Amino acid sequence: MTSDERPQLRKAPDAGAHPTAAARVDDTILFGSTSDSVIKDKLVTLEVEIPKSLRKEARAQARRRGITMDALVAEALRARR
Amino acid sequence: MTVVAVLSMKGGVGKTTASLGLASAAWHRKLRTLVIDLDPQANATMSLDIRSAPFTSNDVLSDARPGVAVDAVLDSGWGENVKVIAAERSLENRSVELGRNSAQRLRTALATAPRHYDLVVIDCPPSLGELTRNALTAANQAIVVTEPTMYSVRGAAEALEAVDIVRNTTNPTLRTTALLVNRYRPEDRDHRLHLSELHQAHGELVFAKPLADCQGIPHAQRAGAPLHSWNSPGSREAADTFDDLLDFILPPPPPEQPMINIRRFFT
Repeated sequence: MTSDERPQLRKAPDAGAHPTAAARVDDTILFGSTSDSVIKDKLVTLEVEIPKSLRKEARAQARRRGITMDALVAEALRARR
Repeated sequence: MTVVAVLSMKGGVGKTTASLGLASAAWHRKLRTLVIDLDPQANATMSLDIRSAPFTSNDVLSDARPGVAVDAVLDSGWGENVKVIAAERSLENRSVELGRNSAQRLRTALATAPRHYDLVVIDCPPSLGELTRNALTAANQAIVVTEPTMYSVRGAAEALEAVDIVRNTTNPTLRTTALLVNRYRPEDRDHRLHLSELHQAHGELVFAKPLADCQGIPHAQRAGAPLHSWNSPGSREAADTFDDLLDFILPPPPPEQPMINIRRFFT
């Protein structure tokens, strides 16, 4: 398999998070319910402008919960569906 | 293509020592080697002199699409023939089942990558959970490491059972190659007793040469150097054991072509 044919490796959404962090992110948020959904559910970039104080607050919350900003935003958006 | 998973249920018995010892023997023979660190403690990663890793085995198992593991392969500090997929502490988060075909994630992510190496060594965590299941599903051989102590002997039996379970479920090609006894002191009566128990319980599976308790091994590991480059009597003896173990797990070289007897044509 050449590098053109295969997909590029993505960072784990919880990379760097300590495994004993108080609240681990729900695996279904990160990966969907099955391994197949990892393959099918493509990750895309979302670029938004938000107040700096809100970003600061979100970063602090993500750090406290041991999850990434991506996972935190995904979780918030899913909760609003 | 030899993909060997090094495992044990009990921690601290020498899985990383065995993984690095095999990699060192392969390094000494200039074989193309890949070490996959699946232990969140990342000790093999450290001893292979990896300072930072853009991608780790955690990312590989999280992504798990076919062939992506190639992006996580790094040059080790041991030279160009020894490559690494590093571990990190958040790999622990992958120790739970992740949906359907959870045990196949490493094998899927590796795809054809093992074909580019003479030896792939997978250093497992000290548990028989999802990380070890992934290692055993991706491997074609398993080496169980133990010490000649009561708890370790029990842990070895559990690990051998885990290999059987994976063989009967996700990987029918997997075989148990050896039970390697580490930190053996022949002058210790208990060690002799437990070694004899292991022989009785597992027979031929117990690797003939136990690994002696020697200071050279941790010294080499601390220095981030291959054991075979370390010059002390104890480390040379340990290096010999790993040479023999490598001979044991690698496929035998192809038979030489028979020489044509030229004289036969003229008589």
